[in-house]
Amino acid sequence: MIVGFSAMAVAILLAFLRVPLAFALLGTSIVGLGLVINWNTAFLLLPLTISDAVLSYDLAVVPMFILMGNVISRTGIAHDLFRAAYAFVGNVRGGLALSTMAACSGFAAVSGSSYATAATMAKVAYPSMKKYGYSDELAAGTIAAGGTLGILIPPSIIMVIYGILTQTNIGHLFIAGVIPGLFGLAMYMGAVRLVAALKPEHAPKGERVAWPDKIRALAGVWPFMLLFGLIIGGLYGKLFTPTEAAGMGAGLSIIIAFGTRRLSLGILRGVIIETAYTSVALYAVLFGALMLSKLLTMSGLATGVLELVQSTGLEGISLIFVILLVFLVLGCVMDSMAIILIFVPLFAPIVVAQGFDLVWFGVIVVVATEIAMITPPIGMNVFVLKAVLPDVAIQKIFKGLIPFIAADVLRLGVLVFFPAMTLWLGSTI
Amino acid sequence: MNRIAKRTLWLVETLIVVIMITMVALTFADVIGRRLFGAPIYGANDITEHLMGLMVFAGLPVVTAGGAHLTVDLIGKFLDKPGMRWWRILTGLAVAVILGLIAWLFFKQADTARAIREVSQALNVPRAPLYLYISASAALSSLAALITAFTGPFRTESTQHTEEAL
Repeated sequence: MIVGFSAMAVAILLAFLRVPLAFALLGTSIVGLGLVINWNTAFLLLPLTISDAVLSYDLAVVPMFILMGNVISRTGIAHDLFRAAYAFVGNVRGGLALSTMAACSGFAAVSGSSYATAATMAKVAYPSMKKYGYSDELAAGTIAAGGTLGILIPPSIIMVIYGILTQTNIGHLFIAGVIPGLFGLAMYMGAVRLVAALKPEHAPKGERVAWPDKIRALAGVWPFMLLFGLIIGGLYGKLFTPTEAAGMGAGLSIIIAFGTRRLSLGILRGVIIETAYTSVALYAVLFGALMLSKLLTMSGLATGVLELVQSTGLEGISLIFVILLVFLVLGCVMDSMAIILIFVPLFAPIVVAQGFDLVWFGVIVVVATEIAMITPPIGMNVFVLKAVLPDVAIQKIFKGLIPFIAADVLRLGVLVFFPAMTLWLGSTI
Repeated sequence: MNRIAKRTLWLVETLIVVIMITMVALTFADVIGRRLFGAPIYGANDITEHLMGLMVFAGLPVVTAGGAHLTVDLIGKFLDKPGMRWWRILTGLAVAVILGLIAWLFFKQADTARAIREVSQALNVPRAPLYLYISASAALSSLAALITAFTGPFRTESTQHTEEAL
């Protein structure tokens, strides 16, 4: 148990010292297993773990969904989403911020990355909001918060990783994310409306758009909305597995992008290569995380922590809150992917022992780590935004985020106390 | 040297593109075939798994040489100081050692696979050549980590975006 604990601590320390996460995890796990069991076992487990992961059909979902996201992102979908949303809600108070939120959730769902969403939407939506006299707080807060929305809306790479680590059905995780994801969007929009009502000068109305123009604004987004409908519907209706959905999604997005003349062969080549490298990096950290989780089990750390938790008498919802608190604190210094890779294997057995559902736990853990992306002192999304909008003071961004953080905490509470919100849709399959 | 490196990179990246397109097309055809015509492609899953293995380990040396592995960059400014060069070198060496170990273990694994005639589930593809391929990729990556420990990463256009995407 001591070796397991030390290995985990060393891995985290090394990661902070910028040792690539994959190798920090692999190195400490190998040494840890060598010390706890013996070197032969460690050397036997390493190639087995790697070949099992790399030859896993379930994991092939990763590159194909990333490819789909990258292809769609390149078609200028961010502008189209924003324009379409603006056409419909732009003329109400706070309408531009509402449009930004809707576009953010759409773009984040596709790209699967909070950072990419914040960076892209800052370029797309911020100039419009400034033009109409929106305050920096609301404009920047909306974009930074909006980036966190898509992580739950399928397809979500982080859910795939969680599913692999906890051996939870990836299709079920995807379906479970739909309602909490849309609920998050609704809560954020509520927060925008509240700010607009309390401080009307921060959020003036936009222009009214005539119906023919509304229809025209939808032209750029409807093929992709259909695609998303097909994927989520297909998963829900068990028409295909997540990997098949990813293959269909990637294939159809390439066909649509070529069909609408928004993609050339040269760009496609670049997009595929970028996708492959992202996937390689992801696979490498996954090898490390899987080795670490083997060490956690074999060193007795997992059972040790379980017994420790039991001895404190913590149980039920209060235990979940303690775990969420740990994730929120970790989220201040690490990104969602790193936290899930390292800590989920440690906490999942405790959650199962308490009789909780791992699908539900996956959703609330992801929400908790995403909240951490926008909270001080180190909200990663805020820094990404600051890099794109150097003229906006960081304090202003954090100030603008307060209503959204409040909405998020409320959402997390609702999701914890009403598991049905997460699990109901899946139970109807 | 530079020309050969560029040529090799182009070849590897073309291989990756072919693998990925094949994988997408295969899944596409398999799903359409099964749902619309009741005729799935036999062994499609098996082929996809192999393609994944080929793609990941085609990319690993490039990602390693490009310094595009996922990192937690919290105190980057401090670590970028000239006085911390020893740490960057040490990190690179450690990565090289781990990759070297993986190369060696897969080389041995290939031997075992050959001895026990390990094959894939549906199509009975022998595993040994794939393990050798993984071993070669890890060895190349180890070499790349060793060199870039001293020279710093060789950034290519595509590896630059990897971290942003994650």
